[in-house]
Amino acid sequence: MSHIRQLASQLKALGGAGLITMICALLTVTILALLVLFTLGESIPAFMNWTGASLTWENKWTAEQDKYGLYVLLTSSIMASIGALAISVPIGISAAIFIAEILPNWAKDIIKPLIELIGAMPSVLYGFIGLKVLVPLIQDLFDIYYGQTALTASIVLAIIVVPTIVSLSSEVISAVPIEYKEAALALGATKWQIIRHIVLPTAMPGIMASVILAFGRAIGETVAVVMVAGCSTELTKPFWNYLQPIYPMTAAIALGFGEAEIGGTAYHVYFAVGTILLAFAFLVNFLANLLMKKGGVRLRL
Amino acid sequence: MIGVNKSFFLIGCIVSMLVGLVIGAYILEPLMTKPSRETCVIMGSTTVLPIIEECARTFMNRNQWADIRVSGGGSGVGIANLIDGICDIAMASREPNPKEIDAANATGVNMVLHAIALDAISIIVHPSVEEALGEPLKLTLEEVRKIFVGEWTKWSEVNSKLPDKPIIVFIREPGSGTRGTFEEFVLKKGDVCVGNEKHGNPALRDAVKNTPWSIGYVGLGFVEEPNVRVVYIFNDKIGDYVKPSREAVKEGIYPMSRKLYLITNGQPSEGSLVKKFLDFVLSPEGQAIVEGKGFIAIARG
Repeated sequence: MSHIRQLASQLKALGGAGLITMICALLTVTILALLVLFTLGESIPAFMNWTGASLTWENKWTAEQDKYGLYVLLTSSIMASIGALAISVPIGISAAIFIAEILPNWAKDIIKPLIELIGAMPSVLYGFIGLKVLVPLIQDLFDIYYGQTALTASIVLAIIVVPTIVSLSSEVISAVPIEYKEAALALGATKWQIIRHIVLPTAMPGIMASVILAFGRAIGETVAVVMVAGCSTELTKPFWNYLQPIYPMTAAIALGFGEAEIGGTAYHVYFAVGTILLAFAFLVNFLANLLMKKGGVRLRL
Repeated sequence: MIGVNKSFFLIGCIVSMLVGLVIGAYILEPLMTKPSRETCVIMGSTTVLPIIEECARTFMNRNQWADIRVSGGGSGVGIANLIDGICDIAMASREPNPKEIDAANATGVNMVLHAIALDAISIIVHPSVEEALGEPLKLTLEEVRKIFVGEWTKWSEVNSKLPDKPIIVFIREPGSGTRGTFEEFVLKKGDVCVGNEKHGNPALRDAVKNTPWSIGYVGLGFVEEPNVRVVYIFNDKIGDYVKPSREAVKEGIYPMSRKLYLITNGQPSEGSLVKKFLDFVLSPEGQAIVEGKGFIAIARG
């Protein structure tokens, strides 16, 4: 009760301005809540099998014939995201170490905003470049006929998520207390030994958090993925063939939802896929927050 | 308290600016738009879109009072929007399906179909196939079916003269009118198309153009020889393979041809913009535009 009374008295002191800020804050939260509720509500018929066709684990995703095999979409999404991380994590963390530990401050002030700018580029541009440059390159390089593959999608996604990893990781690495490093230096450690044994372990939870956030960005990325993933309705086996076209969840929604009849089977199924994406997003943010709170370096997202 | 007063002042400024904008817009709106302009919203099939866009442009140049807004989305979207009263005319590359007719009956919408052009679905292949064969590829509808449902996966299975290369199949996105028509001509009950989904005719043609050993289907107007090559289709009635061409469609011997429609809610009343525009599309001038866009003019009545 005392909390509420305190809030009320604060609001009173602020008057009209306080009221406006409160309404705005409530508005954003309400919109988010409504979005989640709507997505969940519309996906229930698909999960509960109330519609004609049901979600299965079949290796077939053909909305036109009401075949909804989640195997295709989930495998594709996870393949593309894991592939993207495999490429972007080594590059991103190395770059972050360089920026945070080696680069002089004046250069940091130039490089960091540049990397953040790359992160803010509209992803359709990456898709376009991927389609016109990467696809023919992969066709030639691996001697395959169809260059829109899981590998192509992974590379494009890797380029998109590298800035996330670099900017967050370098932030965390910079925040490692100087006393730790000075103590190691006093014991005669070299610069590289300090990075390897002091800085990285201390910053590790934060770096992990940046990787998990990058995973979230990769799995939710849509436009660039539709353009380069190939969108095959069936995956070949074994699934770990990265030179096959794939059909990630976001691409399926983007391609199919526009024509789905409202209230029809496909409509609810697309919402169900949306719910799965939403679940991934919540999980990713939860884990990242958890990791950020843990560990020697505290940094708020 | 000075801070609070300042923020009050600021918020007051912003609010009054917004209010001023809204009031200004209300006052100026009738001055800026001519109230005499009659509007007509047209939505639907991306196949019909280029014809109607060109017709609308020509029609509006001549009739300054007319304001015709044309957008795509696909046959399904067009019909759904006609039923919901969002558009005045729906463009469709197929007849409404039973579900859509039920939905129209439920809301008291009486869909009237006006055939405005003929279109043929052409099966197209990458030039590599024709070059390996030394002549245009010729298929029966059953052979087409075997390729598109994934029963045949190697070109050598299609024709012994062709090499042992994989068949890369491109299909349209779910809900596409072209896909619906193609599958009606080719598939049997229970069949499921297997392939890589592409959004729209141009994207599919470009995919076939850039991918050796690929096959796909597009509207006749989108065939772009010699970058892609057309496949001759067997006609049971005349016992011969027919090349997809305007002449063959006009004669009625090409097996995969269809009508393109404009759909209105009830017969448009005399003198209305909808009626005048429909008459224009069906006039010799409108039909010349149809031909100019690569489709086939339809005889009136």
